[in-house]
Amino acid sequence: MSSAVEIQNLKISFPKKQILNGVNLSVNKGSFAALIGANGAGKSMLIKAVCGLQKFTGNIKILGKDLKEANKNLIGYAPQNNTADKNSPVSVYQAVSVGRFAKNGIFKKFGEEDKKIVDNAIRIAQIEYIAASPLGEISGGEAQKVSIARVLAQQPEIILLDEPQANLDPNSQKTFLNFIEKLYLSFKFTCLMVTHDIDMIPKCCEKVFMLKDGKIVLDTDNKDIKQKAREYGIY
Amino acid sequence: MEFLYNYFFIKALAASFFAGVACGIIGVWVYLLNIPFVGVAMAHTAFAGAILGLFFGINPIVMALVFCVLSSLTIGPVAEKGNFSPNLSTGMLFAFMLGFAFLFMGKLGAKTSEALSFMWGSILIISAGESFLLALIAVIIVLFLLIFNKGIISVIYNRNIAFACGIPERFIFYSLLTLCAVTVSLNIKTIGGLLIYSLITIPPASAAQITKKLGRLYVFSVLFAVASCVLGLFMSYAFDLPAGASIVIMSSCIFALTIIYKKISGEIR
Repeated sequence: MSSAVEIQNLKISFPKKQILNGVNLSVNKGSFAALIGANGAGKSMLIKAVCGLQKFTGNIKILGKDLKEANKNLIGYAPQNNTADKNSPVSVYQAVSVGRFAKNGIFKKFGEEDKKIVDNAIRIAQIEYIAASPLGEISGGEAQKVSIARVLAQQPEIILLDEPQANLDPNSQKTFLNFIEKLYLSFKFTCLMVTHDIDMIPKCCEKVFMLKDGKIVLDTDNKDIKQKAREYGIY
Repeated sequence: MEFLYNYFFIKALAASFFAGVACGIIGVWVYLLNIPFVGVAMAHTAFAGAILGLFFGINPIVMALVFCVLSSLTIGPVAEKGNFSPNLSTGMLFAFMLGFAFLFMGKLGAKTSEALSFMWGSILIISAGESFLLALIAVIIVLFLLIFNKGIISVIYNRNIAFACGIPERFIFYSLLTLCAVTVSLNIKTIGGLLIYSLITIPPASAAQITKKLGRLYVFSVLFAVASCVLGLFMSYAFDLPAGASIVIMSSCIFALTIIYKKISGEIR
């Protein structure tokens, strides 16, 4: 099976600290993978590097193309912190529409088809009741769902989720996890999810990468993942 | 009402209108991108440029424009290279330009009073060509908003997300800064370097008191900025007061009224 995301010898460093030191990983097209590691391991940095938001050395390929040449709208990115400024007048509907702007480019007319896709993404994410609300007035959990809806509206080939359960209470975390799983099973996109919480890895996840000391220490399937994580001192 | 037929007053009225439109829209961008320092830093950069222009005998407005545009194209990259907030690079620019302006002001001699007029503004003696430039920049800003609205919404929503999903975030952000720079430098003679900052920050802040919708924020911000300019001009003419100061006082009064309105009737949704 071909790789959707392929990372080779990825290194990220700050003047006095090496964050990632030669990370290699590959996520197959249409598969769900999770990247786990303790807080501060560099998981979010890795995701940001794949999005072009973080400087790095090494190689990142997106659907076989070098990151610099790859079409960036093939990647849907849901960052860890989605909470907007309390003064933000951008509505939930406008925020979800950003996914369409990314897909079509900013000059194409926002047509009926785009409206349907945005409406559908809002319905799937169950945020119809706040569609007209400004982002500054919604909760952290709702902002997380808005981010997912925006990514869905973008219809990307690859979805990168950075701690999607952040800002959610324990009950909402489980509901949200089921939601992500349903989405994946319905749309079969490629997904790389970052989490520090092993309980948040969905059943549909086929591959788990464990990140420790700047390297991938284990590249495995989802079976007995807690036990494996304990063995490697991650959980 | 005789003054309405006065050529100088008509020119000033037109300039007020276009300055209000430009500052009203620019102000919304500055407010929503959370870069309030940009207005004040650009104003002082324009002031420094104008003083340098006077010193070397070059058109002060042209020098203000050159200084502001170069600065606007520096703020973003400096912040990115240094890995700090654009507010910090803007703050440093403000401090440097203020020092630069006063350095040359001390050497201006007889031209010092002309230099000071760039601090307070003098809209009543604006030339037809300057009024035309204000109209031109207002039209460019409105066109930019209409053409790049989707990109602007994306950048206001989240700059990182816009960049990550392939929206030309840097082009939009730097264009907004450049338009802000041009607006400030062209208004240095009308509103004045010290006061233009108020016209960029107060109208959107007033608008935000009564609405939380992006489209209405633009509309109210422009309305309040135009009202501040036009009413300030009438006040200046009627009571023989400095125009720039009158405009800012009007702008502040409108802000106070919106606060009262918010308290009495709640927000318009």
